[in-house]
Amino acid sequence: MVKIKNIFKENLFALILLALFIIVPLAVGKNADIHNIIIYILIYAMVGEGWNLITGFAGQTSFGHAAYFGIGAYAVAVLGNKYDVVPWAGMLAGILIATTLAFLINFQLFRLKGHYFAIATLAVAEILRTLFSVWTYVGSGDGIKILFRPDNKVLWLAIDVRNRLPFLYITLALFVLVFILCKSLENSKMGFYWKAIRESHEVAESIGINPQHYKVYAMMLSAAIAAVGGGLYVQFFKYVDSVVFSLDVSMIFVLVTVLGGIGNVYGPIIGSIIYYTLDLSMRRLFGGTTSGINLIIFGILLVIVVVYQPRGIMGIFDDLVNRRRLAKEKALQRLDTGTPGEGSGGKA
Amino acid sequence: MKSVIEIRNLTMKFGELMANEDVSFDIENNGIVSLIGPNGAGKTTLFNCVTGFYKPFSGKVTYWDEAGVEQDITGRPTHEICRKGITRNFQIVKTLSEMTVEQNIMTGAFLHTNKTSEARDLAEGVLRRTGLLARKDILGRNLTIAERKRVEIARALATEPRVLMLDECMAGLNQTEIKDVMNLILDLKAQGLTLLVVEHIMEAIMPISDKIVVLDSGKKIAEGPPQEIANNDEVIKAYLGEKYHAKSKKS
Ligand SMILES: Nc1ncnc2c1ncn2[C@@H]1O[C@H](COP(=O)(O)OP(=O)(O)O)[C@@H](O)[C@H]1O
Ligand SMILES: [Mg+2]
Repeated sequence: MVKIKNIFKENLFALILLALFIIVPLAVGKNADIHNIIIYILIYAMVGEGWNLITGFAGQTSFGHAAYFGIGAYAVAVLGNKYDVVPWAGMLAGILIATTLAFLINFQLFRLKGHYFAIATLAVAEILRTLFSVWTYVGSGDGIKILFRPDNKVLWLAIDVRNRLPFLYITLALFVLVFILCKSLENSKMGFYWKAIRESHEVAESIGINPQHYKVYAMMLSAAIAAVGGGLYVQFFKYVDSVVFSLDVSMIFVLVTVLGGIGNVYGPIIGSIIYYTLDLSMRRLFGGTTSGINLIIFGILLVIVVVYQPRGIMGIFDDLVNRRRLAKEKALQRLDTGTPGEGSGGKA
Repeated sequence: MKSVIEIRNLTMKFGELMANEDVSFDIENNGIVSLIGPNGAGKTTLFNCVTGFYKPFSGKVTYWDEAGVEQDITGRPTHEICRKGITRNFQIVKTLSEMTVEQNIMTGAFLHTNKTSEARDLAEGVLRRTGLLARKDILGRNLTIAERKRVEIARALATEPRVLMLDECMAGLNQTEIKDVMNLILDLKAQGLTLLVVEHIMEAIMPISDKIVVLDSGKKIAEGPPQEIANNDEVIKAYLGEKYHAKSKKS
């Protein structure tokens, strides 16, 4: 009982969030707009969690996660469109291809340090974008569609535009799995090693860590998660073209994570909620056509976060909690030792 | 006495600069070998060569593992050398600043376990041995310099090395803190470790060392037991100064 209570207490924040994500879609009734938004929030938060592993935890900046996201999307679309493969199997294929690619590419790329690595990740996504825009097998410039298959509603669930709820809850369930995975990774040997590498390569090596290996593990896991996100995205959007590999897409994952809190498992989901709420309000305000304005505003926001609170919204939150905890501990200490607080000790 | 590490003709160049020139000495099993010499003598460079941070220009570093098997570790990767049982600290402290003291040490302890709970247990033992238990929840970046140096040693210890290499781990500490570190080093020796210690503070190094190696401008100028070194004229000229020379003669 005590144990269950502790688990409950330690994860209170996560449980409240989860409850909201379960209740809100039901509460808004048949409002498909809000259902769509929640699905987007979950998908981008999921890929953000993946990006957070390699960049937030292991400290290797990737500006090219659209590569793995795009592969996840194309795997589902190509297999579904051409061979009638159900999306769930397509997603598995996407995971396999993305992790293999992450392994092959990054084993080489991780010889590069810092900015050079970041630029190389960007180049990988750009190469894929160019390749997919001319490759006729995957639809070249026209992209590729997947069609709704009314004969098998369960397996082709997402394509059903009339009812988003089942797909929303499946996306939520997958997000929860990813979240739990990332949270347990953070508290595992892997997570400790990633953070050591992030803070100091030299320290990591001096205590027996092979940074190259652990960075590749992080990238493979990260790519797998991004591919799941891409697979969900294409089922929902029903169409994908080479634009999916563009820097704009990579930057969404960066943005949601950095806004919410880099290196914090809650960061991507909080960031994604804020990103979408802002994005939507701005679209309402400025209209859909002048979409440049919201990008400028997000750019400014990103700069503010990086300069003033590099740990994002969660950083502000943590600081508040810590300050309260410290104040409480201090007050308790005073009670324990009977020492008067500052300002009242003028007797001597 | 048997050696655990044998350094032979080690030479390290940075461009034209000879940071280590033809240095040879042995580190005896379960001994405390101290490496001294003025600033810029090449002590840290030698650490970096032995632990694989630098590939030496020439020379050889040999290691005998627990089973007594001879291994050429010259220029091997640092993490591999650590896994063989040689761990070092850094003269310029590199505390993992976003981690607590306990987490810093657990990171080292993970070398011998995959389980977080076991790493935590191992870390607790190290926290106790190094007197850091009361500070275990403090973030690295909030520590004093003395505490950082101690965490640095503790993190290295958590990898359970056979050979611990300490680069100026007493610099900047006060008298009591130095005494604590001296006692810790002697404890570690009593527990069977071998130590290579770089230190400037003669009063601390002389009483605990089994052997002292003196470097000057990259070259080894003397090697021997502390008393002999304290009376060696070349060493005195290069490094110690008349004051310590006279003092050690009196006693
Ligand atoms: N990475 C490096 N690149 C160039 N010169 C170096 C490097 N590391 C050390 N040196 C030079 O090598 C010499 C020995 O330095 P070091 O080993 O740090 O001395 P010590 O630790 O004995 O004070 C110094 O002249 C120093 O400037
Ligand atoms: Mg030095």
